[in-house]
Amino acid sequence: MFKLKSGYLFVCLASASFSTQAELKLMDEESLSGVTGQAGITVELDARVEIDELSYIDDGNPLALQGVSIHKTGDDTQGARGYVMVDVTAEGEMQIRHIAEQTHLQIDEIRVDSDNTAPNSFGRIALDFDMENFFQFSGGGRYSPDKGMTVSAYNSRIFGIVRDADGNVVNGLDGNPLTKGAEFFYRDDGNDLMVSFDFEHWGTDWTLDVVDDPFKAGQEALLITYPDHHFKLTVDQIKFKTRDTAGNNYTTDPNNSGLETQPNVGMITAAADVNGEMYISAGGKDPVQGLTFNYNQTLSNGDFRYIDTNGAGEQYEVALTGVTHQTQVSNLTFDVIGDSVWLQTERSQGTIDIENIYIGTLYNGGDDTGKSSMGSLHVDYLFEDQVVGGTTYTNSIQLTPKGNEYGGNKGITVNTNWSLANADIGYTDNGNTVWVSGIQSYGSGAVTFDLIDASLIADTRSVPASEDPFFDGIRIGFENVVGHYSIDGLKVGDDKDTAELQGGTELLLPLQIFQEAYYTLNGHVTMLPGGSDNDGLTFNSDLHFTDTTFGLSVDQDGSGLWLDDVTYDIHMRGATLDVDQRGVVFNRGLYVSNMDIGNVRFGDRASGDSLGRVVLSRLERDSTVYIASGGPDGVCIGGSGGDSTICSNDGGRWEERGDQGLTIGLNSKFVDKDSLTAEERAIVDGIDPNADTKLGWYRADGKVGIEAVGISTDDEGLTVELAVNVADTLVRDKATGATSVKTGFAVDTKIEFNQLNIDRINMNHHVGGAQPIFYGARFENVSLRANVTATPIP
Amino acid sequence: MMKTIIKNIAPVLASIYVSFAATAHAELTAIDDAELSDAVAQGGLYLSGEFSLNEEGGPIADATYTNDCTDETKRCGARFAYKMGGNPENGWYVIDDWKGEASFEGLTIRTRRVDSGFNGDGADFDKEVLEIGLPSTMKFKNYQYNIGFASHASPNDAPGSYQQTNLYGIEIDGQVNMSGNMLIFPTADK
Repeated sequence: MFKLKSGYLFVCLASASFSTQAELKLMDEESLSGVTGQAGITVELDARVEIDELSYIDDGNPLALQGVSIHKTGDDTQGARGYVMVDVTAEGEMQIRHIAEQTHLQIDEIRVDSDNTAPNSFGRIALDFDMENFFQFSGGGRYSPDKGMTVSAYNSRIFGIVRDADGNVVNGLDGNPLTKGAEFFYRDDGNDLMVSFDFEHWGTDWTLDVVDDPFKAGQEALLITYPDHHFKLTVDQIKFKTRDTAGNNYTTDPNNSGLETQPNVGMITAAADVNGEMYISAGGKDPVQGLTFNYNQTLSNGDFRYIDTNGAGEQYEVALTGVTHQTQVSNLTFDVIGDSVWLQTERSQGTIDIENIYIGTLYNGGDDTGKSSMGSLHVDYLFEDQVVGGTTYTNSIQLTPKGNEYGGNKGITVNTNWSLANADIGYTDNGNTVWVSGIQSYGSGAVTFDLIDASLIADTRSVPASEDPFFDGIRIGFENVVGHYSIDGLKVGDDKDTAELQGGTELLLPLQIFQEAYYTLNGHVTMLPGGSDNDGLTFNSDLHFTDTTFGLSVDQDGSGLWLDDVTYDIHMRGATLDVDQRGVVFNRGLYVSNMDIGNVRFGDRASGDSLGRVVLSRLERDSTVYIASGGPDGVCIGGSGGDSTICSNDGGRWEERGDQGLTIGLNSKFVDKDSLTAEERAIVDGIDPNADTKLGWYRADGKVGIEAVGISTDDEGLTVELAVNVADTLVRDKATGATSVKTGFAVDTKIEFNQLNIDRINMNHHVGGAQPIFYGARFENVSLRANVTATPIP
Repeated sequence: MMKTIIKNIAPVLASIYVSFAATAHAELTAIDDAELSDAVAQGGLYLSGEFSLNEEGGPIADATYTNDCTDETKRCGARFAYKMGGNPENGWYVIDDWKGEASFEGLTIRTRRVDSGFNGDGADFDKEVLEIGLPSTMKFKNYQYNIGFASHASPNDAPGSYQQTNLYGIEIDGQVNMSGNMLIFPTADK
């Protein structure tokens, strides 16, 4: 049920005329060629709308849009101009064309509050836009010419038009208006997030029918069929600005809000063809009111890109091309329950194929000729309810107004449950495929979203010292997220159903990718637009893993090598994420972490015998993680040489790796704590005054141990680089000695550093304290390489 | 410098045994290969490939080091130095110019429960172990290092006054034949 509270709607019918056209003519799709103007009418509108509250009420629970207004962009005293043109074609189909100019739409508050007393709100949203819509439709739907409706052609675009100071349209060389993005604003606690975008979608032959509901007996459903739908999206700006104490904001003066000059995340483009059918039924999770959706959908020819423009104007991208996504969603329900909006699905199953992945290549307007691809990716997934240890895990999100406790009354809290029953991820490199097989995950917890002005919180709110600090930016908080994931193992071969399960995930441990994990996560990641060189992202983050167990190598009975009773604290200050010629580059900034492993267990994860306690603490500055397309063309095993001939002449065995592949690198710069600048020292003291890089191994009771303290590198750091491929290798049957060639999961690991210094290696005893056994150690000029291929045991 | 050339050397894994000796035990056992071949579950890992150290030099190129190993006037190997005395005048033990490569087929890693065999001791043992199945053959090429004493951790620390005396050097070329498994198991408190 919808309910409208008091307000006013002022629509001025500025003029109405027959067979006239408005001045803006951006649409040039073929579908418009049928606009013949048989008996047209044009209505010019000047709309200024104020609505106090518009509510959707579900079983008595309102989802309220408060303070809804429409007016001219930047001037709330004038209406937004619009045109509606209605025509009828010679074939008897109705055509409606709609143009909206310089329109500002705003919703001051979005609340879900059953008794309408709480101050909490999702926040304020607004949109500045121009828009053009065209619909051509007729009676008769998918099954009958007498029932339903068909939209035989349609086109809709939302964007912005460049205007001069007097509001006149600025045309380009071709005489058409210069366009820019529509601007979407989200305001939380006075802080603004802006997304500038241009979105167009079009297609033919949508049908709408009311049919017997195949999912709810005795009920009817709305069936929407869209056999030929296409969309194109360009996001050219994502910017953030803390509250403006001078009072400037987009509502009063969009050009003086200060947002335009803020750093940008970068550009995102997306385009795809879509077809499918969707049933919409009355009644949601609770049986009386709400909505239920069931749909099958195929997205094809997808092209998705993120483009990072650096200070020199060069544009580097991460591109996913040839994307296909087939999905089947069962009983996705929408409800307003209590003070929350609920979305829950009974089952969601699908496949994703990505033909090519380009990382760190130069953006060339979508032309990928001559670029080197990482390879292709295939994902099968099934989300559905599952019972684990007596607990039922579902797939649902519950959206509640207000984010973090100290983030003000606005924001979003997402209480989530997830249940991934099974997934397989296949990576194909030069025609060979490796599957990460049998991925399962489940969990629950709260994720909060806020826009933060740290100074406002410091000035006006009492935050306990035990809480993580707040930073300016878009804050994603994690509150008691308790989860689990596991990977059965790897399979190599085109057909994952027949390929043999094998080990190999262990080769990814240097990247801290574990085969299995149980964890509880608290903390936050706070992001600001702008990276290390113009576009990108900057992060400040504090993450805390508790009650955590990592499985390093686990067999089908759950027996293996486990890191148990783990607490893992990670703190990052001034970390940045960029895409450049190296690929995706994540600089961890000033990084302090402590991983305390209570027990390293063999066998059962909870009761297996323990090797003792291991503690790894790290203090790093400007350590980087990078991901890039490609890897070595080949490797020489047992010899030296850059090609098969030289390798063979040196007594080695050449293994081809092809031109595709994936390279992942970690460059860790362990910093001497005494070399911190005063500014860095103050930041580190705020995290942990005793922060240092050290590695300790202790008896489980903590009474005896050995530890290396004061570990540091020079400015070049310690680099671990992994090139991942699927490749042939030689295997030997141990029983017979016979050799054969098998395709396996190949990881070429290179560890390289100039210097690794250790101040002291101490023996610790609970009576005698720390006694040095080495008064210094240094590794120097090290280049260690392991070309290893994992295959099933022959 | 005293140089020792060792071919067909078997007990090279003794150092691995020593590294776990504090709170764990490692043991070379001759589990039969048929039993090993049953380990096809995801916990079993079969690896082929090679490990190399400074095969083509290290990352430093300066007055001391080169990343062109044909240049015999400079070091191209890795270096490890450690100091056992707390006084500034105490010297350093060094493993210097450390380089070479080892290639193998059939290194297996898995965890398994030992609850039988071993002439009846297995039933009493009844614990999970980490089993490293040794590769049938391991081929060493140009594997070498020098052992010595030095005045500083690195020659670059005191270019004018640096001193180093090498005691002996090791060089290994050839093939090592191996069989059996190494079992590693913890004995620390739970």
